[in-house]
Amino acid sequence: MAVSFDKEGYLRVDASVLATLRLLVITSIAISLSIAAIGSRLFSVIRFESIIHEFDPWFNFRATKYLVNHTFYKFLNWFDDKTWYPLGRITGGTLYPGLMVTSAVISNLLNKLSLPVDIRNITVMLAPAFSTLTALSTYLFTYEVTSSTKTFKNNKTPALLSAAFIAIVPGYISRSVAGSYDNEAIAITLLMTTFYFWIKSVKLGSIFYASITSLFYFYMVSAWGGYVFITNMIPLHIFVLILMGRFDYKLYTSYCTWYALGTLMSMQIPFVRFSPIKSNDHISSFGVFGLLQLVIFANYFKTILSPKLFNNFMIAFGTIILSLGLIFLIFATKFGWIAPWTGRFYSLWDTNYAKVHIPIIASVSEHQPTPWSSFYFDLNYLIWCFPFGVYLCFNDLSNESIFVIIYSVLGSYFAGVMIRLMLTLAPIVCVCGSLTIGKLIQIYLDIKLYLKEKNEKKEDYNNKENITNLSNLISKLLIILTMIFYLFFYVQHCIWVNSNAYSSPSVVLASKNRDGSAAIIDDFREAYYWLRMNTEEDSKVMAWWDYGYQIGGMADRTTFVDNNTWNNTHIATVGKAMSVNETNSEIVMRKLGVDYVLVIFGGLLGYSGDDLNKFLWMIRISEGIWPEEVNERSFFTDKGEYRIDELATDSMKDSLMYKMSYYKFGEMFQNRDPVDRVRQQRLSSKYANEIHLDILEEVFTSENWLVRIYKLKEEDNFGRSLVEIGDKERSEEGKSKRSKRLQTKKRPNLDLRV
Amino acid sequence: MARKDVKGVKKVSVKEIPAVEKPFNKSTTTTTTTTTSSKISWYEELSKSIDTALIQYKKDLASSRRLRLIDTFLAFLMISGIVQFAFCILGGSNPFNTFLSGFGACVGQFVLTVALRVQSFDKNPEIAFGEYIFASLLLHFVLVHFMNQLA
Repeated sequence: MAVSFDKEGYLRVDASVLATLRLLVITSIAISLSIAAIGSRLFSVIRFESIIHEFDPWFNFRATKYLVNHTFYKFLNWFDDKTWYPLGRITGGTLYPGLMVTSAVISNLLNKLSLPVDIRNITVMLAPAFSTLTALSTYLFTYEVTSSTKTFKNNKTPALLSAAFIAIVPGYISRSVAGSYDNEAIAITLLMTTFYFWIKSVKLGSIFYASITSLFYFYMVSAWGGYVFITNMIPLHIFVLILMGRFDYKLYTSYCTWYALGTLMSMQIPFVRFSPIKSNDHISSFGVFGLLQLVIFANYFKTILSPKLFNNFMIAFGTIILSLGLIFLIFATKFGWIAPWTGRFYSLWDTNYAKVHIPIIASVSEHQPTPWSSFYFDLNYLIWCFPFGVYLCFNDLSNESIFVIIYSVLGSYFAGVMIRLMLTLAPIVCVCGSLTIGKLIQIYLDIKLYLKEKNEKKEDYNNKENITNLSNLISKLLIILTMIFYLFFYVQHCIWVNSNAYSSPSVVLASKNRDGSAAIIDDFREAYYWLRMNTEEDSKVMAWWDYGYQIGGMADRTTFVDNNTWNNTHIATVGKAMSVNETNSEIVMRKLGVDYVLVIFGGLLGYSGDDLNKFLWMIRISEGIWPEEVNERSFFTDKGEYRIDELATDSMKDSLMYKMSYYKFGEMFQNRDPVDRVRQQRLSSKYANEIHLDILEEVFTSENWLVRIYKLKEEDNFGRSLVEIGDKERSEEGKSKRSKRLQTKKRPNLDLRV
Repeated sequence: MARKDVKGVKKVSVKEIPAVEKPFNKSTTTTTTTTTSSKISWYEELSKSIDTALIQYKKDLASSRRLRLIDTFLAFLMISGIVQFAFCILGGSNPFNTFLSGFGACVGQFVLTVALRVQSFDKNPEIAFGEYIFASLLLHFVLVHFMNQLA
């Protein structure tokens, strides 16, 4: 009998039934967590459609399509001549293929199972699917950390809580909503899985688990450049443990196995290639690898020699090794065997570095330092549970807890430096937060303890005890209710943030009509579709690099620069073409081979992420290469204002970007003064009508003026310059003012080739 | 066979180490009492400690066939690695990935074997050996793939 009543009337349940029940409960928790994780990421699909978001995902999507339509080897050898015209990009060798391969494998698998799912849907849903796996790996990670501690022995509460936290934490959702098909979508899963196997292998000292760690590390390397975080976290963990005198052979077996296998595996990725042995980013892992060899060697002597002898021996041994290592390092850097630190690395330590030296890194909004408020916004109340969780780890100080502490410290630092690294902080905040809440639950909500006490006190029952019991109960209830309120509030906050802040595809914009009904602004796709349908297939479109991937992915046209910002000079060239006057710009554009120019203009709609707001970055980047032709100061008025109305400086008014943005802007407002709704400045109607363009002709302007496309005019047959012709026409036009009246509003020819 | 060997090693290591250490400890205490300034004895001490380590190492080797086997393999890997490295410096590292995979095979296998060696006194040497084979297979699978890849 599995369930029975014993003589005293107590219910007796068989252990196997309890175990089954426990499994059932945990499984149902896992399933509901998965549903919550996926569900909260689907806002954008429901509100808009199943579409790829933002910028980078469009490239990943395009690459995935290439992989699915070609073979894997063709993918690795892919030379893309449709980007970075005329240079092209060795795409196969300069990307992290993990993401594309993952979705290609899933797609093939589904096809084998006779479930032909469109590749677009797979890529859109990949991030939510992996978020459930992240919850699972976080659960395992936390369980591995807590199961060895005294406080949480065999207690799954923190583990389950951490899984629940990570499932809906906004800091992670920001990079993993449906449609945000980016490397980070799978990288966080792999990060947590790698860490889980790592602490497991340290705990057991097992070569097998270390090999599994390196396998996941390999997957991580193939998926995201952030793998360097793991490459430095694990050696740091080992290093700290050695400094604490925790060395035993388990550290050696796990670390050396991971390092040897992981490094060799990471070199299989074409983009990484030899950097694990050449770049300084990886040197700490190599250093610790060497250190461990010495330590295990010394450890052998420790078992044989007396402490005093060993001490002297170590001093002699240590000085020799240290000096040798230093000399080697100095020579290696001097002779260029080791590559110097990269700019992205410097900007991790010195937040001002990028601003001063590399405008292209500083210009990316996600590389900005994190404002304080976004910590609360992205992590909610977990951010103040976080320090207490770290404190609990300090109380415990097992090898695993030390790992959590190191991760917390590094994660917090990096999250403070760059807003996008909030992503790597989020998992550890969830883990530490769950430790805090788990501890609270253990103290105030342990029913087992309560029942035990009740049983013991049953015999000697008196009034005094009853009162203390009551106050005890009230205080407990108070804390539990507060805690439950916060948990509830957390869920609410997360859902609100996910729905309002992180679920916009940014390719399609949502707004509201005056009557409150939802309106969808689909200008981007309208324009890209126009390009796709109305231009020659080999025409080259010049736009700022932000839109390179989208033009490639949606319009399928050749671009000059894109979000893979590998060539700063090329970007500066495009920036120069945008920021100098028409005559000079024409020279640049003819040399580049531009056919069309695409510009984003938000002045009519009030879309603040438009090109005029990014214009300063274009100027800065091109000033870095041509300081005598482009000067940032000359775009500001004497008062230091960034003006675009009549008071704007001449270089501003003459720049191609300015002209492209406001060309015919006045016509939209008939005879009223046009207002730029982004920069909140009013242009007089007379001035606005005077803005003219000679070297370009307008071919397309989207419904809300968000995207404007111009075509570079053919060179004049008689060899006159286009600006000259324009000037001449204007002066004739000025003589006969009547002709201006007759001029009808010229709209672009919109006959679509469908 | 293997299990017996390990037990033998265990017994020897437990018995022998204190036997070596005890007289040694005495000798150090006597030296420190006799010679107060220890500038010359410092060097002597060093060579002495290396000597004792060597003696102990030889004893360990003599007692276990398995240790002999592992250490021979380690020596082979080390020599092979050194030869490859020397060749790389003298003859050039032109197919760099080929050199790396050859050298990596030596280093990786060396490290794995050392990991096996320290584990061979463990409770479950069979499991350790199984894991060792798994990791080695993985290592060489990767290396074979890497060997002829075009850079």
